[in-house]
Amino acid sequence: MDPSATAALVDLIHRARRGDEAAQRELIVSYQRRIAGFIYAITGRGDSVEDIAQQVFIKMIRALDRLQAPSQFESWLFRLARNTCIDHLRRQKLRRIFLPFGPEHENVPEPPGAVDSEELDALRHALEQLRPQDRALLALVQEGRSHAEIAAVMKTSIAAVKARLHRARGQLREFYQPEHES
Amino acid sequence: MNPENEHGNAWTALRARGGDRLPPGFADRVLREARDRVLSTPGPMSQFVLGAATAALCFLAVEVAAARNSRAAAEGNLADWQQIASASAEFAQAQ
Repeated sequence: MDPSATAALVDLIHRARRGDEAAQRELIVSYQRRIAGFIYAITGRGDSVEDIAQQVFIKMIRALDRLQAPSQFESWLFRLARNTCIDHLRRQKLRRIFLPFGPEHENVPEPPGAVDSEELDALRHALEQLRPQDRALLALVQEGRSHAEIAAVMKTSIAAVKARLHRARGQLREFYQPEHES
Repeated sequence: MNPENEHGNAWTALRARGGDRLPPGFADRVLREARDRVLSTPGPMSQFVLGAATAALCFLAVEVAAARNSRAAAEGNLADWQQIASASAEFAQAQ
């Protein structure tokens, strides 16, 4: 991000912190599509994207005061999104233990037209085989986050990020099989 | 080549698909929801009052249960002593 864009973003964050709803709205509109795409990559479910995105942005509005470095806003926002997705998947897993669903409720297919290409389908299938933390890692790379930023998001070292990324890429490659290749 | 780059088109489609799941007016709905939650969230004072009231109720329930138990035990003991006393009076008369 160039310095003038960063300065504009920092100004927007300061206004949003003071409770300026127009600024909060602008922040949401600027990031909603990226955050929704990120959530979809981690959860693999289109029907939960809206709810999770709403939770993420409500947390953002409430926690903006605690953001120490406004220049780190994007990393911070993606950390909120990642943690919210992982919490959501954890709760879903727990719910399945206590309220076991029948096979008809598991892996309900996306509505017709939701998956429109073989490659997208193969990628979704491959991502489903990975741990949510690894899906988040790959999605953060797709978002253009640096290793240092990812390390900050995941609260780990850069070396650990590199090692996990190497492993996650290997697994993705292993599971990625478009129909025409299999 | 990294698999994310190998399948760059699929990744782009995946992220776009997620973005498409948000309805128009999403930002306004989030703001409205955030406002409603602030209004419906109890403040620290009311949380303290609720906590204190709950603690008082629990304490009262424990006290009532303890008093009931000790009264029942005392009545039981008294009945036992009366039984012993009448048995020993009968024994004394028999002698």
